[in-house]
Amino acid sequence: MVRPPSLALFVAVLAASPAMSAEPTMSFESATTILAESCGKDIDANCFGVNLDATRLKECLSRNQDVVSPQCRADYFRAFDAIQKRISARSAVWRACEREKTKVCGETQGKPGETIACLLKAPTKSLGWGCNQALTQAGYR
Amino acid sequence: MADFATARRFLPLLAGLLTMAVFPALAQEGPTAETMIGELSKLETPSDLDVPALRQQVADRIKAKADPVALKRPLISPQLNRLPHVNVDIQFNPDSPIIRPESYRTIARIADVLTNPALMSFTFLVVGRVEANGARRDNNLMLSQRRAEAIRDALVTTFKVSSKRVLAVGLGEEQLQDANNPKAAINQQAQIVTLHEVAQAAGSGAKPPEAGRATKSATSRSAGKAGK
Repeated sequence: MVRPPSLALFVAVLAASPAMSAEPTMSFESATTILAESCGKDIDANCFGVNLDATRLKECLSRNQDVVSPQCRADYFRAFDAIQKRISARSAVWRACEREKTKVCGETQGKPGETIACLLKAPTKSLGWGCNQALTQAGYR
Repeated sequence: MADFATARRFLPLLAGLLTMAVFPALAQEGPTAETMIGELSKLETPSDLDVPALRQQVADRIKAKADPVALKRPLISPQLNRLPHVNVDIQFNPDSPIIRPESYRTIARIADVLTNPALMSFTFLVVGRVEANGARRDNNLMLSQRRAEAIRDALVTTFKVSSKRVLAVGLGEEQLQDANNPKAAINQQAQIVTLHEVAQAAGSGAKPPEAGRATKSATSRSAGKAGK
């Protein structure tokens, strides 16, 4: 009894992809607006000397959990998480579209912006499912 | 009961006042992302702007006490204004490089813009400026440098824009936007300037600077370009 490798691969791909249906991740601006609206006052009150640095702000807000506003407590993790999701979604494009990059856009493509522009211009049908998903999740379309 | 009725009557008013108090600060200010992308992608000829030399030039002018009067003080770098650029209002704590939470959104918008496919292949300069506020010129220079670096650091640490793609320079009160009104708030706007295209990695193995480590040759090449 040998499990067909294609099925194993399919399951692995499914498990690795964050979602079945591709939803674009939030833009940096939208995610950061949540942070500023919910936590602006708390940052002023408790993290006065801390600059806009995800690691340090997150650390400061969690250290001050007891005193930050309920709104901020409810939202800050979500906001930083959304920023991280977009960063991951964007770097995932290069792995997900590796084959398409050479096949559709030619090997000589060097500039990252041109490669993405080429992938976005290519008919969706010419790109694999994973690459299409990744482009959507990255917020490129 | 009366208290409840009063509260109910005033609640919408209070909500309105709160909205007015909160939203002006958070309202979308300055150019939209689309406008910024349009402006910054207009690079026709790559700039040969020498950033370290500019830093030296501005320090020398202050040290030599040249152009002592702020009114109509000439630009230290007219070339900067000829490159594609956008001016952005970023609020800092007084006399400090700490970005105010009201301006987080603008910084995030810049990050969205710089990581847009249309601009992904370019290198940018963040220019910090301070209005001629009566403080010492050298202090203003230092403050503007720290503020420009704070903007750059936020882009690099929080939004993972490649550190190789963003340089920072402070020009104090030596690059006044409105030299006829040296104290005007417009003179403290930061500027994002398109410099040139990123050094291209050899062959097809090009990854965006955001996605991974550049090759050694690309690193040395871009460092060479930045240090020109």
